[in-house]
Formats: sequence, C-alpha cells, structure tokens
Amino acid sequence: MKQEMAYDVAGNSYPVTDYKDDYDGEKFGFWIFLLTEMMMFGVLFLLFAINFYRHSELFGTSSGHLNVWLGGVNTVILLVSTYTMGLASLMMRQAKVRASAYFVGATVVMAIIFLSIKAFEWSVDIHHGIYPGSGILDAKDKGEILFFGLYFVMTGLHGLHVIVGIALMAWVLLLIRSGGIRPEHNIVMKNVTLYWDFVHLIWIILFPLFYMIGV
Amino acid sequence: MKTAIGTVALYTKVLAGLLLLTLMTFLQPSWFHLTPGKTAGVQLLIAFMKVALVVAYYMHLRSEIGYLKGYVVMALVILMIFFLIVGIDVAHS
Repeated sequence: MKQEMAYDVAGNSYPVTDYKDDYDGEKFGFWIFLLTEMMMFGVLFLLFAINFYRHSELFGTSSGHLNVWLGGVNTVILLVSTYTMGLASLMMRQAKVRASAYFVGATVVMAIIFLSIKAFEWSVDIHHGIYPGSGILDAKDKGEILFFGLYFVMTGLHGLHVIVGIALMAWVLLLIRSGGIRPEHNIVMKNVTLYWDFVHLIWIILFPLFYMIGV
Repeated sequence: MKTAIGTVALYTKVLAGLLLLTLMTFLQPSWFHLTPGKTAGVQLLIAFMKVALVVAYYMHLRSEIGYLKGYVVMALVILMIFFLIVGIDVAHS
C-alpha cells in the first residue's frame, strides 16, 4: 500500500500514520469519557448534598437502617479488586500474559461477589418494604423517602456500572486469548483498568455518605 | 511520552494506604461521635484522600502529560462551581 503523505503550507511532506494504534489518543479519549461520567455522578452527589442539608437528622436515622458491615465488606472487596486489576495491567506491560489473565479473572470474581452482596442488601430492604414507591416508605417522613430514593438510584446506577465492568473485563479476557491484547498493544486493557478504578472512586464517596453518617 | 511506571511494590503500598484509610472510615464514629453533618465532613475528607491515592497511582495521573492533568482539573473546577452556585441557591431558599 502506497504511504499516504500530508503536506504543510511550506510544502513539507509528512507520512500519515495509522490512527488505529494511537495509544495516547485512545487513552486521552477515554479520560474525557470518564470526566463525563464524573459529571453525571457529580450531579447525583449534589442532589444528595442538597437533601442532606435540608434533612440531616432524618438522613442520619435512615442511614442507621443500612447494614454498615455488608457495605464495609463491599468497600474492601472493591478496593482489593482495584489492586488486582492494576496488577493485571502491570503484568501485561511486563509481558506476563498468563499472570495478567489470572488477575483479570480474580477481579471479575470479586466484582460478582460485590454485586451479590449488594443484591442481598437490596432484597433485605425490599423485604422490609423499603423501596421507592412502597406504601411503607411513603408513610415515612419526607427526609427518609428522599434518602432511600437516592440510595436506590445511586447504588443502582453504580451497580449498573459494575455490571458493565464485568462485561468489559470478560471481553478483555477474550481479547487476551485471541491476541487482541498483547504486551505491545494493550490500550484496551489500560482503558478498562481506568474504568474499573473510576467505578471504585464512586464507591469510595458513596459508601461513607450512605452508610457512615448514621453510625 | 512518559509511560506509566508502576511496580508491584508500589501498587501494594498504595493498597496498604487505602486499607488503612478504610479502617479509619470505620473507626471514626467510635473515636468521636458527631452529628450526621460533621460525620459526613470527616468521612469525605478521608474519602478524598483515598480518591487522590487511586487517581495518582492506580490511574497513573501522576505520570501523565500536563495536558491531560489540566483537563481533569478543569472538569473538577466546573463541578465545584456547579456545587457552589447550587449550594448558595439552596442555602438562601
């Protein structure tokens, strides 16, 4: 294939490079995507702040109903899973492909455990009639209704991001096996690792605001 | 282009730091019992330390190009301005 050339005003020629392997461009683009995600969650945290400002005591008592130990276990699980996904990226860069795949697998397992604990927590709340729109919740004070409304929306949206993360990491495993990800071409792994770190960042802020203010 | 440099030892130290801060998150209410508002303030302080560790070392922002760092700071500033304006509005409504 004839090398395509580009020319500047002075007539100097430059070879047009293939943008498929633009590591920095792809990484930069993914950071921009993460910043839009930050804005989305940022607005929800702002909503929490407003209602917490207006209903502090009721937010405190409502928080007391949540299981801080389950939330805490989930915090440690997500924290360790960020570590294993970071090591997965590191191993790939050091051409230790098998070790990298194992760490990705470990991260997926921890993500599934996180979701299972979250599903169990929700089922207990729902079993007690605490869910948006339920008669029991609607009979409570406005502050409690708002707290649990925000709780289900924000942990639900975060849970959705965990599910997407599991799908992405499964895709990474397939790409590692097919050679689509390899030591000299690992931008997809880099970006999925950034994504998983972001999911962890959201939980770092979510956990204290919902679980710790009522302890 | 500076490539992200990370080692298992560094990642493990950051993990230890994150676990320590998580422990503080759990112990704070028993160390000093505060109102929900003040508890949220202390808890968020700890949370932002954890966020800083993750962003700097696990997301490698520490060793990224200035252009990318500028973008991240700009997004944070925009979000803070948003918080400030709405906060003032809510406080006076």
